[in-house]
Formats: sequence, structure tokens, C-alpha cells
Amino acid sequence: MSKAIETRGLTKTYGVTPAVKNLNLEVEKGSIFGFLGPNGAGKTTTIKMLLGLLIPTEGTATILGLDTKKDHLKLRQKIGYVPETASLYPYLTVQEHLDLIKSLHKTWNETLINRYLDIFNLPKKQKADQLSKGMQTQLALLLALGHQPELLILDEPTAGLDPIMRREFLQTIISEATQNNQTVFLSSHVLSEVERIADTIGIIKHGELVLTRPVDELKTEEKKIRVVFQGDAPKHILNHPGVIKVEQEKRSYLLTVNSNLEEILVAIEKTKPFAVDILDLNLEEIFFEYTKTEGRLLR
Amino acid sequence: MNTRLIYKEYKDLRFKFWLSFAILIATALIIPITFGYLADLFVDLLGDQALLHDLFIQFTNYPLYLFGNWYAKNLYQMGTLIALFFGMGLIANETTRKTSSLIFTQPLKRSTIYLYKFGTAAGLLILMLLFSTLILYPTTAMVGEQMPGLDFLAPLPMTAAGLLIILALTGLFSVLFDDSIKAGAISALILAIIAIPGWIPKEPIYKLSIFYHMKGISIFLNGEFPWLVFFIFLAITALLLIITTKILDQKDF
Repeated sequence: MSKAIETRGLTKTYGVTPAVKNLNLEVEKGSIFGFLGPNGAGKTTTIKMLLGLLIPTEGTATILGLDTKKDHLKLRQKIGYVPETASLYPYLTVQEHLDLIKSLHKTWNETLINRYLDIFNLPKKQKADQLSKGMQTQLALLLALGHQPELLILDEPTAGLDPIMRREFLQTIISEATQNNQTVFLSSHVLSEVERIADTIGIIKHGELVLTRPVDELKTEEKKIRVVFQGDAPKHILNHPGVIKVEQEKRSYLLTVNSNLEEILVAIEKTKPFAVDILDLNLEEIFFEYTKTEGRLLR
Repeated sequence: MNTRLIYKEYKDLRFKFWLSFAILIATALIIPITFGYLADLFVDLLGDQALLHDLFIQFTNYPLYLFGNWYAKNLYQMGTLIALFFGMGLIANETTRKTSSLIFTQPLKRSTIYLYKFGTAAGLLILMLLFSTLILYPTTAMVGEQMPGLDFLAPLPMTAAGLLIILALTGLFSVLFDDSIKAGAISALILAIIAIPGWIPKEPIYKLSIFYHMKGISIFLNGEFPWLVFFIFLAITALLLIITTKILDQKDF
């Protein structure tokens, strides 16, 4: 599978403060990529660099095989973007927004737009500032979908939406993405929704990518092992490849593992521990493990 | 040409446009109408027509009165304020409204988007100048004064060219500053500095002020159109536009 997004050493610095540091990111074509990170981690900065709204301090980015600097006009025909806050002109109506964006693109799927105008029940003659927050987000999505982009970039698009609206919004994205083989790059704080729709996850922390992995692999490989050793914890286990974090409470150790689970379990069994428990992690727990600062991060 | 983009820019400016247009038209109506009243008032005050001619010549000469009150006073002054109001939000409004992430992610160069914005604002500005000046003709006919000839329109390109510089300058600050008020204030400050040579009654110093040329005085007095100054004004506007689009291309949104 070829790459929809590929960044090499992508960096953005404001003065001396780095917002994104040496980001090497790969997103497969046709995938739904969940881009996660705490507030201020660099998610929006990354997205804005991909879109050409921010100029990278260093590094390169290619989208759908095109350089984001040299081929940005070609690229924009292929990208749809929904920002966190719907960027709409308060003085333009729904129809005027659609007409404006349509006039800027070579392709425009009128049937798709009309279908979703009906589904969302969007009033064509209403001005954007008279629409509810949910309707504004729906309009922003239509503006991003109308030219049938190959890549849809969504920056926390469901922020502030109620659960019903959120579900409807995501359903639209999944349905369109799967029908048209679109790639979706979704940044969100709502981990449950990312877990539901994404097939790959990337976690960014302090501007650095700390994890990229398919969701299936995450669920099978990312575990916590609670173990009580007979004596001191053997160092070869604590430092075993795949153990990414060790937390200790008296003689009980909590190991966070992201690979080599079988090998680590065999090594633990050999020490004849008092107790061993394997704990499954959901995405929220995985996110928390990678983004919290407590504990000893070994790798 | 993308008419949808022009329409969007018009809608963005429409309140400023209609308000400014109404003020300019009201001024164009008031100037001819008040001529007779003011002339009579001064005669009453001075008690002598000859004295009026000596002290306030414009009240005994309608073409001079019309030129003095329109081109040499109201049109360029109001036009300057309108150009400031139009220019200060050209890009800054996109930033504060966060619509920059919609418009600047479309398949159109930033410079093209800016030129549409500038072009629409400039077009509306010129429309206002032309129509409000044309209003002077029927109003003059209405009050029964001497109708100005077509040559009365001759200073209009100079006023417009000066206003284009002001619009382009304010547009530049609208790119540099995300706050439109700040962009407008800085532009106003720079314009005040530019106006200083015009306050010094010494040739050629006062001729260094763009405002002097925007009044079209040499056209009225000598009937000569200052082509060189006109083209210099256009060149300054073009230079400002080039600088602005270069900065805009490098701007982070």
C-alpha cells in the first residue's frame, strides 16, 4: 500500500520553542488514521503544516506523492479539511458557501452535496452565523467533501457536538471514506470515537511522535503485566525489549508492554513469581500510558 | 475570473461600502445646494459683494467652489478614511474570524486570493468616487448653477490612484497584523507622516505629499494631467502589492 502522508523530520519552531520536533509520520492510503495527543502536543501544528497553512521550519512532507511546498495547489484539489471550529463566513448562506467552494474546484459532486443537505436538513438560505454549532460542522464537512478529496483531514471536528451529532458526523465520514477509498486523518480528543473508526493510531507528545501502530496490533500487543517477584525484580526483565514502562509499588511491579509479550511472560515465569496478571488496555489507557509523565519510560 | 469570490468579497465589505457611499452621496448633494446659502450668508455678514470676492473668492465662483469643496477637500479626505476602512480587514478579518483555514486551503494561490480582495475593494472604491462625483451634475442643474464640463472629472483618476496607494498600504498592514484595528491604526499613523510635506507651504516640499496630488490642483489650475505622478502612484501601488503578496506567501495561519 502506498503512502497518503509521509513526513521526514518535519519541525516547526516558534522562536526557540519547538511545537513539532522531527516528525516522521507515515499514513497508508485508504486508512483511517487517528492522530492523538494532549492539548498543545502539536496536533494542529502538524495538520496546518500538512495543509500549507504553516510553513515548516525544517523537514519535508509529501501527501499522495506530492510535495506540500511545491505542489500545494495540486494537492488542495485532493485534500478536504475540517478544522476544529467550523471556518465559515457569517454573512454567507449555506448555498453561497457551497457555490464559493464549488467555484474553486475542478470537480464537484452535486449529487453527494444534495444528498447530505437532505440528510442533515441544512437550510440552504440560512446564513452561517444563524446555524447551530452542529449544523456549522455539518456544512464544514460538506465543503470538505464536495470535491471528493482523496484525503480528508479532520482536526477535532466533533468538539462541542452532542453524542448524536457526533455519531452521525462520524458515520458520514466512515461511509464516504469506505465508498470512495478515501484516506482519513482524524485528530480527536474523544478516544472512544477514534477507537471505533480508526485502523491506525499515532500519538504525539511535546511535538514528538511517540507511537504509530495499527489499532488491532495495539490491542493484542499493548498490555500491562502486574507481577510480584519473590525477590528483587530481575533487571533483564525490566529492561527486556518491549517493556516500555515500569512502575513499582513495594514488591509489586506494573510493566507496560508494547511488544514481545510472549517472550516477556516466559522470562517472568522462569523467575517463579508470587503472582502474574495480564491486563488488557483500551485506547484511553494506552493514550494515558504514552502521554502521562509519571513512571519510568524506558524506551 | 471567479465571480463567486468577488461576490464573497463584496459581501464582506457591503456594510462599509453602502455606509461610505451614502455619506459621499450626501456630501455630493449638500455641496451644490449650500453654495447659494453660504454665498448669501457671507454677503450678509460682510455687507459687501466685492469684499466677499476678495476674501472668499470661491463663494463668487461656482466652479472654484465646487472643485475646492469636492476634490480639494471632501473627496480625498473621505476617500482616505474609506480606503483605510476597506484595507484594514482585507486579511486580518480572515485571521480573526479563523476563515483563513477555509480560504487558504483551497486550490488558489494566496496572492490570487489577495488580488481578488484588493481588486474588489479597489473596484468598490472607484465606483463610489465616480458615482458620487457624477451626482454633482444633476445637483448643480437643480440649484441652477453653471454646469461643470466633462473636464471636471479629470482629477478623478489622480484621487483614485492615491486611494489605491492607501488601500494597498493598509492591506499590507492587514497581512502583517492579525488585528484589523491595529492594521488601520498603523496605516493611519504612516499616512499622517506622509501628509507632513503637504503642510509645509514651500515648493517643491508640499508636492511630496500624495494628498496634494490627490486633490488634482494642477489639473484644475493648468488643465494639465500629471501623467508622471499618476504612473508613479500606480507603480507604488504595484510595488506595495508585490511586497504584500510575498509576505502573505510566507505568513503562518
